[in-house]
Amino acid sequence: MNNPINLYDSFFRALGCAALDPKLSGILIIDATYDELDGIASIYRQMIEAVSNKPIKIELLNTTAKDDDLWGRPGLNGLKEDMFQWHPGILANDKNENEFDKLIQIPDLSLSNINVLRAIIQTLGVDNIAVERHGFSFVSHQKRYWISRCSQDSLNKIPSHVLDRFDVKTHINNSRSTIQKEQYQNARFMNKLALNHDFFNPYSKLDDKIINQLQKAKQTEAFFPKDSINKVFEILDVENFSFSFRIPISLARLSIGYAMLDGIHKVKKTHVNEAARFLGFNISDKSKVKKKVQIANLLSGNITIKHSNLMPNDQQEFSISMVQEEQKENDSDLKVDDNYSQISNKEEVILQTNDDLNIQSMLIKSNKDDSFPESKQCLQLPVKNKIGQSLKGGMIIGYEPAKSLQDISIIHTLMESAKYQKIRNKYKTKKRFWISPIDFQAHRRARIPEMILILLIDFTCLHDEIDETPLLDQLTWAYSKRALIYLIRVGASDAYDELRAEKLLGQNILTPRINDWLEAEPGTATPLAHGLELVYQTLVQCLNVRYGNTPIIKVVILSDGRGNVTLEDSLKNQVTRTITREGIDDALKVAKRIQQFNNVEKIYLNPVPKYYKNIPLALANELKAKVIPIFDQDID
Amino acid sequence: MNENSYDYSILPYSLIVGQKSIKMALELLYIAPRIGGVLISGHSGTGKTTAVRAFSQMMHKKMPVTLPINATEDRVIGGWRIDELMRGKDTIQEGLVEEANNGMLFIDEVNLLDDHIVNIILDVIATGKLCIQRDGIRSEKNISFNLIGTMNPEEGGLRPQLLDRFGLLVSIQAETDPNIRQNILSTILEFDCAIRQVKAGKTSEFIEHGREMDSKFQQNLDHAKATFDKITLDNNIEKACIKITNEFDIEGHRGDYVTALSAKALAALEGSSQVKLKHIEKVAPMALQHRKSDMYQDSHQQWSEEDQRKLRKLLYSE
Repeated sequence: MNNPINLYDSFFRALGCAALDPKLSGILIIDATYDELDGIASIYRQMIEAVSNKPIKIELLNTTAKDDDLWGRPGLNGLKEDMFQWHPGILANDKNENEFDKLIQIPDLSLSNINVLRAIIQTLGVDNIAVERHGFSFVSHQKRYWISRCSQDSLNKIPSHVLDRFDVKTHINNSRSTIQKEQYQNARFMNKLALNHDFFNPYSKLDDKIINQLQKAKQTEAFFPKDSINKVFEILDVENFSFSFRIPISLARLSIGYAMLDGIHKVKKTHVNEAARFLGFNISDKSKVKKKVQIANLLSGNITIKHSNLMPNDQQEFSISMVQEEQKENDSDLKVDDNYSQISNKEEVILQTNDDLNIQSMLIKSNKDDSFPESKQCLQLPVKNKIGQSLKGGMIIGYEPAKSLQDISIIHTLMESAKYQKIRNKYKTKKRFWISPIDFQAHRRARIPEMILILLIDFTCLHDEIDETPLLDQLTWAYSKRALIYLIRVGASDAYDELRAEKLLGQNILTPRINDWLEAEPGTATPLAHGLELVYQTLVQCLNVRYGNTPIIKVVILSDGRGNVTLEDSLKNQVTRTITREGIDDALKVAKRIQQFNNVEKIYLNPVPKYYKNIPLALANELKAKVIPIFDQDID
Repeated sequence: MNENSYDYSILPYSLIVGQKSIKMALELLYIAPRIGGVLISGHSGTGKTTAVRAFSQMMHKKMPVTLPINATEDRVIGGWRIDELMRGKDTIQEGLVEEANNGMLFIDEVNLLDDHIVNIILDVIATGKLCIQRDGIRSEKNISFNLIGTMNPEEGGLRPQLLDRFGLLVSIQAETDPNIRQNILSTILEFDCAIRQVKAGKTSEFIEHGREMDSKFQQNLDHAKATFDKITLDNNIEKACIKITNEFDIEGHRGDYVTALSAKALAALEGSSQVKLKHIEKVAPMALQHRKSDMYQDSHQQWSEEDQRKLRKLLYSE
């Protein structure tokens, strides 16, 4: 049987392109299993080795790594005369010349702790890394490649800044043909994960032929003509483009890789398209693609061909001439140099059944709709001595000089004092292991807000006559518990964007801006669905495993339920159609998603409107929230 | 951390397309170091770090002294050489703050810096002295440096005390002009190509051209720096600075001072013998936006069109 790993397979072809350009050094594969990641990492490593002619070491970066694990630390060196020596970290080494380049493998990016995420920001895509720790100062010149995975559902747990550092973000389904995907889903369902086992076997070896292909490609100097640059920007519409320039750069670099693999010096639009599809962009010329697929299928008479096993020798004749005819019609300037591009064109045709993997749009949408605003906080280290910080609570994220004898790290205290032993014993008559008060090291822990209030206020339903006592009761609870407060405003007159809800984090209810926000006047639009979406996202973030112990969360919603902006319009920040009850329907849908958080106390403050009294009750029902009426004083 | 050799992996400063405001801020700081510092705030992938490194390479032929966010306290303020210490020798090692003395200290992702490191930096900037009292070391030194920081506002803001120490704040947005975008991308791709050539042992015309332009531009900046003290700043200009800081409800006096200083530096850069209102118009947003009382450090633009209209009205209405 032919080796399934070949450069005619679109997935491995893209992996080869990434290996060809060391600047495409971060790969994120969405929805891959842990086994698949292992296999892909192994293949990617071999590809990089083939291109760079250097050995590459895979380093597994666990999700709970501490700073000392990442950057290095002084450590014991057995019983040798130099008792201590610098122990290199996973990400940096002072002995550059003797060290392997590394492929850093992160099993699940969404579960990574704050140290790992900060390290990614600092190192991914950076050639020279400055390390200034524990009396050591050096610049690490090692080349680091990164590969990771996460599930699609957990993408919103990863700060957008971190996601942006990964140049190549793709879906694991890009590695399978349509038929394979179906079979794979079935196999997964049946708990038979063998289908792709050979495909992504961590022990798979690259054929010499692939190594030669990659090395030959490395020798090809490809340049990017202006029309292809235009093509890059055609694919990225202006709206999408506005948040990071890394996207067009990655797209262009990957396109160059495709041209190099094809042995072509001038990057074609087809290369840009191929790269764009792999990165999950919707390509505008789908009609052409569909036509090609139809021709290919027609000729094959059988759409079950597995692209991954398509080899030049046994199936090259398949529809190639017709496809190429079609290709020539569509792209008259494409001159195929050799078999690589012939096959790649055919591959491209066969693979374009997969238009549903719009990863980039998903990521961009996620960024634009502020669906992970909580990332604003999560890359910053916890501030000390804040109200709400629990000594016994958070996960250990590092060590620091102790200010009291609580929560002492004995090992690190001994290590700290060991550094000074020779000096201290120099002036002492008795040779002992001396520990000074300045040696004491305490654990540094992630801050845990023990109590959290998530408060959504729909300002368009407020008026002077409303009895605010139930709301004040909730604020009093937040004050007495020193709770962290997330205030989500819907329909405030001074909102930055009228069509969107806004979220503010306060360390407690006394935060001045919380008070400012509570004083808002009613606006005209009611983006309730977006407000509830922010509630949902905040719950996801607060319950994220990264924060360690689960906090006590109370969700309080004050609204008459009459949303008049659809979620889509809020995300796009423009009114796309006349709204009847879609705003309400969207709010109900999001409320149902919030319902799934069973361990969160939900309270619905019902303003009991004169009209449509059933709407707030329906919303409360979807939330499974306790309803507290806020009686209009007029009624009383 | 300092590396003294020319780093070919850094794009020559003169070849950077767009990002005019970052460039202007860095150049003004070089001409008038008393501005104190520049904070560059912008989303990921907007070329913040690239610009700072390229500028340092052009002006100082080396990377700036960089304080990484993983730095430990002893490396910031100085301490013992641990490797020597473990051999029984007490050798003092200067910290990054001291290394940056009379130069610049660059902090990438400054808003992710550990809180107690921020305190140290604030102490040194505020007092102009580095006092070390730890691990048996006691010393006091006069220290002065320019602080250059970058940050992504998505990840939270800076403490107001630290924010105030940055003379200028540049809030950058991704370029929207299609031609500039295309130029940026083609420059990056051409630079990738040039690096490959250099790594293959060849010379790159692209890089050499950039270095040549850098060299000329460096001379211009040095000339501007030399003429800075000769630039006159008349009473009307001083009054205009004070007027706009009052009208924008700026707290403290640092706003007036930095605005005037930056306008003077810009006049020197543009070869003008005196400061004009147009210079103030250009620098005031950078000098004042982070000092406005209603300023919130989020991802929204700090200086709005309305602010700019108000500024023009204040400057030119009489």
